[in-house]
Amino acid sequence: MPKRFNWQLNREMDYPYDAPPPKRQVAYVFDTNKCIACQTCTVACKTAWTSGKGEETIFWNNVETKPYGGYPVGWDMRLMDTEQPARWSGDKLVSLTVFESGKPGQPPRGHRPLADDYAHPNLGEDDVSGLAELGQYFDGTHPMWMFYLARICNHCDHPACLAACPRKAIYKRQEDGIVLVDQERCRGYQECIKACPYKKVFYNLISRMSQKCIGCYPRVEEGNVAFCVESCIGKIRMHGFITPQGPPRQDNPIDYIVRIRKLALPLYPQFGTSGNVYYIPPVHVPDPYLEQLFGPGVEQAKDLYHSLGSDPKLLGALLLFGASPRMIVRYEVKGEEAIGYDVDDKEAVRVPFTEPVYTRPHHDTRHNVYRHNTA
Amino acid sequence: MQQNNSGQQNSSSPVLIVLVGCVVVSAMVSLAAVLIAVQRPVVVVVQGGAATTSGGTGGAAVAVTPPGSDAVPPASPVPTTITAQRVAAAPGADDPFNAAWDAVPVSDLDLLPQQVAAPMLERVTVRRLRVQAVRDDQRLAWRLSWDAPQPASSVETGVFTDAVAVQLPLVEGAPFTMGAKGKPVTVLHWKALWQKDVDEGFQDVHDLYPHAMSDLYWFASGKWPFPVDEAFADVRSHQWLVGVAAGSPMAQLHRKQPVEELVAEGFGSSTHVPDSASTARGQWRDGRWTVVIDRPLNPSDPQAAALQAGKPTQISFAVWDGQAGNVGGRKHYIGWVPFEVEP
Repeated sequence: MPKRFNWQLNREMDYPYDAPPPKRQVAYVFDTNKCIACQTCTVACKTAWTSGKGEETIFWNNVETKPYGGYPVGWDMRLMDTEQPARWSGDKLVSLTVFESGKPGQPPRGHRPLADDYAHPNLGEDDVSGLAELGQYFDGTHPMWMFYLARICNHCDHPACLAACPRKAIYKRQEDGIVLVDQERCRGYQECIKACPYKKVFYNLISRMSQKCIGCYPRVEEGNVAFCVESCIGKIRMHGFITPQGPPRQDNPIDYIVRIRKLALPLYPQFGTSGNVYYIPPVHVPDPYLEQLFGPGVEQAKDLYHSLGSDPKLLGALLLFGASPRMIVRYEVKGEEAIGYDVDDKEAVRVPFTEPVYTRPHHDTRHNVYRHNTA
Repeated sequence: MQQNNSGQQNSSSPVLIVLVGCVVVSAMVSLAAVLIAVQRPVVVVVQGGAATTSGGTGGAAVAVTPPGSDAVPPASPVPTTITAQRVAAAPGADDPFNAAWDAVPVSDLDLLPQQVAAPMLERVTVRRLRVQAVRDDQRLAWRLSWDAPQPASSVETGVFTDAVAVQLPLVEGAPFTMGAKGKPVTVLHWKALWQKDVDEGFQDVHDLYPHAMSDLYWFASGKWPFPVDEAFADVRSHQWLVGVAAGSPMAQLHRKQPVEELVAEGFGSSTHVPDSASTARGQWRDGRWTVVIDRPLNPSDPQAAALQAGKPTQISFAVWDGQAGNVGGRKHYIGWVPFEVEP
């Protein structure tokens, strides 16, 4: 089996499909601390792409509540139940990935949800980790916790769906690393559905084929962010490109946030697919749980997040979240502003560090009217 | 932040769809567990007391039973040729139980789990396939039957359909493993799901979930439940029926035949052949599928195997047990068996 270096695991791993890495790789950073699970992303995606017959329970984008939520039901826990617990030696994964833990000659290890598992996208929504005990009071830290985890296809460096397809009907685009299911070649074997550890390939009972998040590729081709990113009212998302091979760029906001500063972490890196949606971990959630989700860098990422106020370059990158419908591929911090440049290297947006405050007089002399809603 | 322990749809979130009354599918999976497992392909002819390793390229295990006999095959079978017997008028594909088949010799083929290429079939749940073949001046027809305690013809995530396939080489020396590069094979593939589409109409969302509700199907016409084979004539609606728009052979809303013709040059390469002249019909009765598949004796299509009467060739078969999760390469098969069309 060919070997591939997985930078998220800091080691080589087996990967059954030998193909060159793409020229560019789309990537996303989601700040879990800002997500309120309004599901605007979910609706934007569903309205745009999966409103058809046979797609009733297909959500390419979903937002679930951790620790108890999950769509499809138990997607992550059911896989972890069959695998050894993740073991790290420093930032190197010691345990086996889904490509390494199965029998030789069989597809990557996984489980196949049934229809009912897709029918409850809100299961566990807003449930907290535990109950408040009698007499308990707030002393500065909530003993129970929950957070929202927004999920889309990870457009992985080493996609398990692609590796599992016996027909090579799934491919990773050279130009942007987006992973697509060929709707002419797919024959609905559902091997990809079983293999994807994130359960982001779906079976459409009308087309009798698999389908998945297309990364809004028609928008990416024009340098625009995905619908789920543009529609996010909490501005928790950034959509751009990462440099998965070779040295990261200081002026690429995603490289800077993910690879240089390690503020955002991959989701379940131990699965081995090297996903490209990176999460800023929720700072109020205990480390042991987060380390299961995001790997060994949680504590450092939390510390960084707490000190953002004195870290203008990192804060500047975060200010660009949701600031423009254009994909920001280069940025700089100048004085009190973060400036983002698009794929054509044109200035796309300029965000001040401090939001300006305007005080308008009660009487508008130009129109000779009185404003009643001024502070 | 509100607490919601209901495990159901929460009105605070914009979940568009409510599916009520999902089918119980998990029980089907466990049924397979009671069936006998065979771990490795064992290439032997086993009938009565005589067990011989088989010759031939594909490890065929064949026994020929006299016409009309459903009993155990004779004690000393000879690995032999499946012959498409010449008859005045071959029974049509419309009735798999046409009495004319009772006069046609049967061959019982022992099936093996596909363990040549990933993904493999780990457990054998269908032991044997019964094959009959006839020809007349125009058509060549096979009747195939095998045990299936329950028919599997549903369509859903994690649920699979029963199926059977006939394979013929397009060139001499094509391997039984779906052919090879430059050595193509032709396959006629029948699926129980497609038979259901033909018999009962396209299996739609409301056939599986009568209470399903969706508040938006873009550019659909007509009324709820918006049958997919009627309500989506507007091409603008096809942006959300991508498989249909792509012309996929899987997404055929108006299927006429439950059989598909394919060509292949190795595992994972099978490709749909449009406008096939093959017809088929399968019926499940008393714990058994009986499927008739036919094709023109002399097809004009170069991608269908030309068969010369009296000239020996080969044939192979595959069977899928939907309830046991058989799909794609996870199938039962029998390698090349000598095959001849009676002059």
